[in-house]
Parts: sequence; structure tokens; C-alpha cells
Amino acid sequence: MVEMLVQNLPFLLGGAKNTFIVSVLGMVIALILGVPIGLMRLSKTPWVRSSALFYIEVWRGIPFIISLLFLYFALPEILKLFWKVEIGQFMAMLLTCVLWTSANAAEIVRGSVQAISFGQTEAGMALGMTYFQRMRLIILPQAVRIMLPPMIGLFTLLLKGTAIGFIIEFRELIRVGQITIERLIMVRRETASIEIYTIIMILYFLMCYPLTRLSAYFEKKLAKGKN
Amino acid sequence: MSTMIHFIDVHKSFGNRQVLTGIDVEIREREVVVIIGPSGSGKSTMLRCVNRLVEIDRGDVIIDGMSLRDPKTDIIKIREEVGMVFQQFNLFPHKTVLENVIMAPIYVRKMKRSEAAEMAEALLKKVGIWDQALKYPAQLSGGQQQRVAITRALAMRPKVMLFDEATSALDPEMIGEVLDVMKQLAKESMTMMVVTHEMGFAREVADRVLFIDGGVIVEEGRPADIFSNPREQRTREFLSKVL
Repeated sequence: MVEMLVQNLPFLLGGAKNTFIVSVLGMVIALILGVPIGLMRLSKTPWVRSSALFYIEVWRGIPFIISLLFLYFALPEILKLFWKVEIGQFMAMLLTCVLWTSANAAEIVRGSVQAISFGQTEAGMALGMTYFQRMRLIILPQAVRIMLPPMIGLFTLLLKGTAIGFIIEFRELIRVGQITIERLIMVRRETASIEIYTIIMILYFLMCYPLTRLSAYFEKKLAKGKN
Repeated sequence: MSTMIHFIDVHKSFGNRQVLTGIDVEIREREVVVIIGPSGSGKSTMLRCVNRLVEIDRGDVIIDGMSLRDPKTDIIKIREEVGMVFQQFNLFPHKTVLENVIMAPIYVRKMKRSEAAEMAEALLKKVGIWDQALKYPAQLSGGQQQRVAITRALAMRPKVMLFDEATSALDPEMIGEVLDVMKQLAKESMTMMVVTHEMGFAREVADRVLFIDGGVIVEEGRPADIFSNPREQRTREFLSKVL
């Protein structure tokens, strides 16, 4: 029993690693996209604002699993018509993560920037600062403090959401767990669902709990800063 | 003395509410002009037109020879020359006092950091807040914050200073220290446009008082004349309420 667990743990940890890598990479790219999209959402120019809104609504509105299936099964069929390109499991998973997370991150950015008093913008304008100077030096540094807790929350949702990757055989934690269970049944005629799924739960918890604590810490700090 | 700010038939409405309905006035170099009038009369809007925090609908404002409505005018160039002090201070809360003061000189005027810091030191010493330079705005009293805000505007070496009800958000005991800084500035021949409810300040410091009501300048003149012998009925009514 213990021996079985020790034998399979590295394999399970490998799955956890894939879950983690695709989540972190997805989050980083989503942030890089989400900040400008969130700011575009607040633009005074109608077409800029509405194209950002369109992007946000589309990728927030479509269920994670649908965009994943589309990117993995349908998109290659379409791309095939033009040039030869392959979308592997990792790439499909990453793209799905980026689209969904960047749309949600953009909304967080928008809300946080709007929470900064307009007087800050006016002060920057009166001092002769350009839009980009105001954003970089005045607005975003203040908005980041507001953004941190919901961004960490978004990251934990993403981390758990990647579990859906099992459906395209992406070897994240769940898929790896299933493989382990099947293998144990076939090779050793042992049923280990309880053990394996318990380990999976613990691994997810270990990844998410520190983040939840971190978010709570920033939230407390933010509340303090207000007084 | 030459004209510093020239309002020409300035109109502005927000939605269907007319706020300015034809402002014509010249502010001369080194002049201190105080604008008084009932709330909602358009005083703040008039001030905000100068650095285009509010965009005018009709007419023009010429600031130091630059036209607001000329498409070739770079608004940044105008804003560099026009300092503004707000009712709510609007200091940058995530920056220290010193950083608040040197930010725009460094990024807008492209001044060297060391040079900007030297200048900030001199200015902050003058308004008596140099010993607070490394604190954050939230650690300062309202009066101190507003003095920092004035310093921040002055650090750009503007040709004009706009004061938009700079003392209205302050506790009574702190109004004096801010007015003193403004008086000092007037003495040093800064061109100033001041929207205020402090009639004492207007009487003592203004070269000229404008009384605005309903989006137009109803009456203007030397403070002594406006406060002792207002010609217009509306001015008299307003003054009887505030004096």
C-alpha cells in the first residue's frame, strides 16, 4: 500500500507540475494582455472601447471546456486549410487559459483603475503628464494594490480550472491520477481510487491554500492602508 | 503689462445645462484675480477651461500666446505653464512628499533628479514642510497636504497658478497657513486666478475681483469697489449673504 503510493507519487507530482506550469504561464501571458485590454475598455474612443468589450464578453461568456475543445479539435481543422500547423495538448490548454484569464483579468484591471479617484487623473493632467505617464506613475501603481487579491483569486480559479484538460488528454494532475488508477487495476488488480484521489485533493489544496492566504494578507494590508 | 490669459466669448455646457455663457476677460501678467460667486455659477469650470481639464464648446482662451482651440497647440505645453491647486489636494498617496514634488519636473520638464530634488528642497523649506519631505501624504494634516500640493504645482515653474477652492476642504484652523502661502506667492508677483469663498483674502490680496453668476461675469473691479460699492443688484445680494 505505502509502497504503491511511493512508487506512483513522482508520476502524480509530474501531473501537478504540468497543472502548475500551464497555470503560471497562462496567468503571466493573461496579465500582459489583460492590462492593456482593461485600459482599452476605459478608452474614450468608441471603437477601442467596444473591441475590448467584445473580447472580454466573448471569452468570459464561453465555457472553458468549449473553448478548449474548439481550440484542440476545430481550430487545427480550420488552420489546416491555410498552412500546416499543429496544436498539441499543451498549446491548446495554454491558449484556453490565456483567453479566459486575460478576459477576466481585464475586468479586474478596469474595476481597479476605476476605483482610483478621478482627482488623481486630473492632478496628473494639470502637471502636463501624458496618458502613459499618468498610467505608469500614478494610476496603475495605486490600482495594483486593489488588483492583487482578485488577481490571486483568479489564479486559483485558473489552477483548478485546468483540471478540465483531462478531456483532451493533457497530462495535468487529474488525468495523471486516472492513468495511475487504471494502471494499478490492470497490472496489479488493485483498486486505489480512494488513495489516489485523496492524494490529488491534497496536492490541489497544497497549491491553492498558500495563495488564498496570500490574498487574505494583501486584503488586510489594503484595508489598513485605507485608514 | 502684457496679457497672460485671454478668455474670448467662452461657452461651456454639460449636457443641456449651460455653465458658461460668454466669458470675456483678460488676466494680465502678475495680476491676482479672485473669482467669487454663488455655487454652481461656473467659477470652477472657468478655471478648468484654462488647462483644458474642461473642454470649451465655443470661443477661445489664449494662454501666454497659445490658443486653446488651435489644433496645432500642444496642450502639454500649456499645462507646463499653468499650475493648478485643487480643493481635494489630489496628492499622489503612494508617493512621498518629495516624490510628489519632483515627479512632474523629472518626467514632464525632463529635469535631472538631483536638480529637481534641490529645487524641491528650496520650495518645501519655503512653505515650511521640508522636515516632512519623506512622509506620505496621509501622514500630514490637511493644511500641510495643501501646502505640498501648491509646492508640487510651483515645482513646474509655471507662469500662472490656478487655485480651485484651495481652502474649502480644510478645517478652519488650517485655512490660515494655506492662505499665507498664497499671499506670499502673490507678493512675489505670480499671476494667479483664485476661486475662493474667503472674502477676506479677496479683499486683501486681489488686484481685481470678478463676480460670476449664471455663467457670465456680472461685475468686475478692484476689491475695494466691489465690496464697498457693488454696482449690480446681484452682486449686492450675493455679498450680503457671504459677508
